[in-house]
Amino acid sequence: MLDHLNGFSTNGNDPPDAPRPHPRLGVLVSGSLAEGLTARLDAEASVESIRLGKFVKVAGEKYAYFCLVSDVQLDSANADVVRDPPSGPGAADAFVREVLAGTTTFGSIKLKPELMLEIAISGEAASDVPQAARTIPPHFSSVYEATEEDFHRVFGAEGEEHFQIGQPIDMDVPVCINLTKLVQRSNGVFGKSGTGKSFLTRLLLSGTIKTGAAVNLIFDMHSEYGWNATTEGTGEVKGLSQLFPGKVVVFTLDPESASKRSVRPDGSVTIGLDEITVEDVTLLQDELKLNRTAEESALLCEEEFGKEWVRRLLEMDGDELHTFADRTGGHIGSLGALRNKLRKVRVLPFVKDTVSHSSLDQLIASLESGKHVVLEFGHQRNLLAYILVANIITRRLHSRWVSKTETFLSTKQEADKPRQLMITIEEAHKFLNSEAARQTTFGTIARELRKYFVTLLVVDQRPSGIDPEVLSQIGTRITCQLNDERDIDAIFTGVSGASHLRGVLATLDSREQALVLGHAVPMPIMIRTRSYDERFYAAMSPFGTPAALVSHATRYTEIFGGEDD
Amino acid sequence: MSPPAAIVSPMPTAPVGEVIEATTTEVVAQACNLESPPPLGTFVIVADDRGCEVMGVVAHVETGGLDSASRPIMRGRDGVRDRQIYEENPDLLFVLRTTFRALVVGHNAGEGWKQILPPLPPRLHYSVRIATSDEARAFTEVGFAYLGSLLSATDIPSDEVVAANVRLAGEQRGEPYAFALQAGRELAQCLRADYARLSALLRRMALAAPTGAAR
Repeated sequence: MLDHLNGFSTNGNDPPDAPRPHPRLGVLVSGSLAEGLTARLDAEASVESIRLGKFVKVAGEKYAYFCLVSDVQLDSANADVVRDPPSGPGAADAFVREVLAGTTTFGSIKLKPELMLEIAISGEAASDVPQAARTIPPHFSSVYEATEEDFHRVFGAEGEEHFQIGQPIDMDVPVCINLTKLVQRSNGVFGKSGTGKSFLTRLLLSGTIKTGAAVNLIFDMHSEYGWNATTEGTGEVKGLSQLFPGKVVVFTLDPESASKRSVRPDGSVTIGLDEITVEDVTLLQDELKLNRTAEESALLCEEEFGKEWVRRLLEMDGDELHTFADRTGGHIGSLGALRNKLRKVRVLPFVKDTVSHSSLDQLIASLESGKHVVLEFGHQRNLLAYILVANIITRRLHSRWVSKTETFLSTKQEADKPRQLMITIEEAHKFLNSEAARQTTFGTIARELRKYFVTLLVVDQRPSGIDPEVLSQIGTRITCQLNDERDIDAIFTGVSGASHLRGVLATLDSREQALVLGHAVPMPIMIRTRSYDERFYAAMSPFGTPAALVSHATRYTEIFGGEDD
Repeated sequence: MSPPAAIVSPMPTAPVGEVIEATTTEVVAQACNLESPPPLGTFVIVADDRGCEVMGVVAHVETGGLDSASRPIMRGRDGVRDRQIYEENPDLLFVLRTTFRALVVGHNAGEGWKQILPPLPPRLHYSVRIATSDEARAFTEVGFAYLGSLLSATDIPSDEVVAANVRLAGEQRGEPYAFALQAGRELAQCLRADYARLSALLRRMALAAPTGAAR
């Protein structure tokens, strides 16, 4: 009754078998593609139920538009109401307020159209793939709350390619990201300390491992990905090697720490002094407090001694250093300083004068065979060790993958195609700051290496510290709460029309919420992070949930017959 | 609090008056009994032989002499007051009459109620009866456009008529508060340029719809 007035329909008298319409929120009243749309809320739709970043659908005539709520406002059709508001405590004022709500005084929402989807005209098959919104719906189009089906249509259903990363803030519907697309570009997980970056990273890694979208190398600075990790509040969580036994191998730089934690690593990694190049030393400029001239001195040494340069420099005594400086025209003070500072490197427990390379080769072979590698740093969690090791390993992987790709390009054989490799690095701004990004392998990978099947998963709390050129190449950004303006600016580097997302980012809770935007999702979306718990473990297990395992198992009686005969 | 049960009156009710003046927009009827006209704001119906029913809303009630020449005079004296006057002057029932004006708000020519004026006004001397609750429900189900014509009528206390009509119709529908709310929203649209009038009217309606106000 009176449905045309959209009143009285909330009394539950609708026949139960009638198709339930989408909950209508309001009607479109103005807008532009550039500035966004404005919709007036219906009297029944509460302003308070609309949150920034909510996912809504506008039903146009030819297309359905998927939009994000970018602002919520109070509005009135008559300025007199606001000048003389019915604000008294009495029943009459309460009635007046209730009548005016939705007619004279109403909420409006600003919407940013992100995607549009052709609506099937009878007989014609409409496309099921949403495209970027390039026009806007006509006046008075209805605005609906997005349904589960809409989420499926836009974000896909969990399966071969799609992996559930969370739910929308106000609904219990899976939001998926496309892992195949994710691993094709470098990605970033950003957020302040303690906002759940490592959980999100674990989720992404679990997804890529489960679906086999890429093989992972994780530089695990805080030893939290391989085995059990303790977390704030929830106690211990399972590591990747426990979730995916047989698929993940753990290497360590610190076997002693591993054995103390009762972790049995699959191998330990040692670095030979002859594997350290000038590039590595330059990258350690901050950690070793090197002078500007150190790089030139190091280059001199390398020119003279080749790969052995670090060991030879460290072995020189004062006289030899003088002679060397005289002979090569180097600066004696600078050379001496470099030698003294490189001693810090030599004392690292995993650095040996010479090594047989077996451990690094073993690590790379694991990756080549499709095993995922977690490299734990144990007690060596200082940046000096992390940067040095990560850079040396990545450089070797880089050259290996480049040559594999070149082989593949010449043979065009599917068997020669290198596996997609994703390298996870923490404290990424140390590798990818404006200065380092131009010199290190990481910078090269971030800028161009997707062509060579290698991408980065950058985990960082200070995205502003990362070179803008690198940031602009980041495919998918998953961002937890950030407060610093510069960091927020950095997130939106290279994202056009993102001004409305700044507000969304600013309203994220400090835990378990994130904004996902970029290549792997069709439109930006604010999510509650999927919980990393027993249910998740079960979902990652090849056998499914324990219940599913029981139901799939052949019963004893089916094999051996019933007991009673 | 549950809404009061609808006043059930499925059969057409007995006539309450007879049409003595009819225009396209308005019907004047004389009440069958002196001093017992339909209350202000009531839905009334005049049917004709052509199968057309005209819906009106009682907007004005008046009791006076039979014609303008015979004006009532004071009859009470020597302590005879009020009811006693009628008892002592039985002729009064024949020289006085009660008339009521109903504004035409819609018609039903056999295709359901429409909130537009009928093609022809009701016929003189035909009966006026109070709409049953089913008829009132069917009519209000169509919408609230009729409130607009009530609001724009002149020479009557239109806001009072609206408030009374919404209260009575709400009771007939068995949902006084919800109905008042919906009607109020329609009125807010009609009176969007005149907030002072709207506000006064809504407050009047709030007094008439105590069920919801007590929620």
